[in-house]
Amino acid sequence: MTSLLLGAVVLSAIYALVGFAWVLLNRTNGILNLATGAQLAMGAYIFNQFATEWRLPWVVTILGTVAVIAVLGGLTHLVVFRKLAGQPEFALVIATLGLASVLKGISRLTWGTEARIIREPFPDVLVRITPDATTTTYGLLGCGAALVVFGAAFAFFRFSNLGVQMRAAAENPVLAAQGRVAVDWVYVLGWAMALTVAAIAGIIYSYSTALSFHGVETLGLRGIAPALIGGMTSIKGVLPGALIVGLAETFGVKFFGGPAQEVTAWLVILVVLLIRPQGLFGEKQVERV
Amino acid sequence: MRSSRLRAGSLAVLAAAALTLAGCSDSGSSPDGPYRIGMSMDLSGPISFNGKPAAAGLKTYIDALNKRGGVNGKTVDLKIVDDASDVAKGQVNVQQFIDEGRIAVFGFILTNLAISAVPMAAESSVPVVGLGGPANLFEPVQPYYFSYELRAERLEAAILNYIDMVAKEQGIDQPRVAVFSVDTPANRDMVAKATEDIASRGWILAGEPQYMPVSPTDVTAQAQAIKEAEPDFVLMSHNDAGALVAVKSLRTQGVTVPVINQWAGSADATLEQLGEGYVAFRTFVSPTETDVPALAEMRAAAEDHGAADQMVNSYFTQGWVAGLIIEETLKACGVDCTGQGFRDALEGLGQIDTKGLSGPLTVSAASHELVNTVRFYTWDPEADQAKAVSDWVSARN
Repeated sequence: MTSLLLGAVVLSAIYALVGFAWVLLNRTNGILNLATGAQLAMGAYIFNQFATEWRLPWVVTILGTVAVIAVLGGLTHLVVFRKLAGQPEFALVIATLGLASVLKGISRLTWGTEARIIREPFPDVLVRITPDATTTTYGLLGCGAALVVFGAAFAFFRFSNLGVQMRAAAENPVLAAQGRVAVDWVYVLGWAMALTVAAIAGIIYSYSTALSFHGVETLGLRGIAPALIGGMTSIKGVLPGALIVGLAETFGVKFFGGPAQEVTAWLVILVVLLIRPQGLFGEKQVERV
Repeated sequence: MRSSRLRAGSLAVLAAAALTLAGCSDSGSSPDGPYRIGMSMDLSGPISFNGKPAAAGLKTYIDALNKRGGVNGKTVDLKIVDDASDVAKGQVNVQQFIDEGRIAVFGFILTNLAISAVPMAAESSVPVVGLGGPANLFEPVQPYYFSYELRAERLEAAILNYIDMVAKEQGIDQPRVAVFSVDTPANRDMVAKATEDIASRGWILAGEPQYMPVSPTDVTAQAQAIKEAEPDFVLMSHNDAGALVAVKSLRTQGVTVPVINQWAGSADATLEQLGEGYVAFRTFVSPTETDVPALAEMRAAAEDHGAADQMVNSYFTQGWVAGLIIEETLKACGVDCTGQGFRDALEGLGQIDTKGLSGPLTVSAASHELVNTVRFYTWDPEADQAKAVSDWVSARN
């Protein structure tokens, strides 16, 4: 039982990172980003290019990946979504679908379709947590990354000027702009942050398997589950949402077999949304007529 | 009057020329022209990372063959067309090959393309030489379908035959075998066969067969179930990415017995990453192996014809062997070879010696499955490469 719980927690950490990317962009930019999975994959491939193909020092690899991804995020807003400002929500969603296709095409043309092994900064060894429960170094890395990301996000949005501005722009962009908040740059930052966290999730996941666009993109799409359960407008809701999904998947398989793995998360989503449509921590959308 | 006679004469000449050309395409091969062969392969789609080396291997062999004068005094005109693993494109390719009078079609890395192409090709008496397929392509034998790759259903027999060998070496009389497979319809059939096969050998199926998704994120629960079953061996069926997740999870749960996987999980990088205790089979040797003399000829030809960068995995060898099959068949077929003639000649070849690039290939009227043996590999950290841990093992019960 302890080993199953530990496995569920490690899985939840990855889902939490992916869910964060979904929720952050929805919360700050108001976009349901169906390209999240593709962006996870692109981030992992860019990291692999630095780390494995060019074999650059790790500091350069990490900073270089973050820089490239941040620029890509910024360009995504400036080139595509800024021009769609004011359009109906479905148009933005369709645009993200188009973005996913473009990213897939670029990845195929640049790196092909074969699965790759990313060069490791340290070996993936077993780590015994309790006498009955073992994980790996990269499993712990995923948990650590999730804690750092959520801790940093909490501090950023609560205590930093920029974080407050982002919250203001998310609440009411018109008022925020009138209050001299540079809404455009807030949105650029939102994209950059979401893509960076997505890339972290994609990279850590790829260390547990081989890097393939399809595999990482699938993780990205599954990652909407914790976001929906926690609430698409609630960053803090992602953590419990991820834990619920991780536990549901792991124990779903335990009691109902392997085929239940892909189904249990969606069943949990259905149940939660039937009871609380905005998610466990999401804000109820009130429309005044 | 003179101009109308001239016009009539020109029309007659044109008509004669058209009839001659039509006659050429219908016959499949004129005594003077080259042998025409087609290949439909995934060069840009989801399996292109294997399709491109496969196509390059075949093209390299044919280029080398033509350089040494071809077969029966004729060269081989090989046309390779992309199907991107798309059924519609595959059908278009086959129709194009038929219209061009090609006498055989090779390729189709995804078997559903072969399934859709076979009826069309058979109607035109053009044999399709594909890569595996479901049981109904082989039982009963389809006159115009051959396979130069192992059928997916046979992988369980190959792995269990290997386990039989190892269990005897280790003195295990009644091996406990756990089954851990990707959850697809073809693999469910394979698992059902494996379960029957394990029982018929008097062995023990350790626990319930466990399934994992095509792109697994976590398989802790399945790995724990396998641990509780206390197997001596794990029969696995998944690709490289899935094998990495599954085997790492098994080891995290404390399952350290040998895990034996199929050829989709046999890439050098996977063998290296998973190291000792992980074994996977291949049906063709990898270009990176150093103990197969025939590879030297293949490598030299690849360098000579600008295909060295495509020698990335055993699919290149598979393509090269396809070229060898073509050469042997054409030798037997003779100078004036049609589609029907190619089919008959291929079926009559019996055993084909690939000089160690694969196990012996066999074909007959009773079986159009050329590949019936596999070889198992693990990683050798001292030599820093994959090493064979078996000879060619039968993939039949």
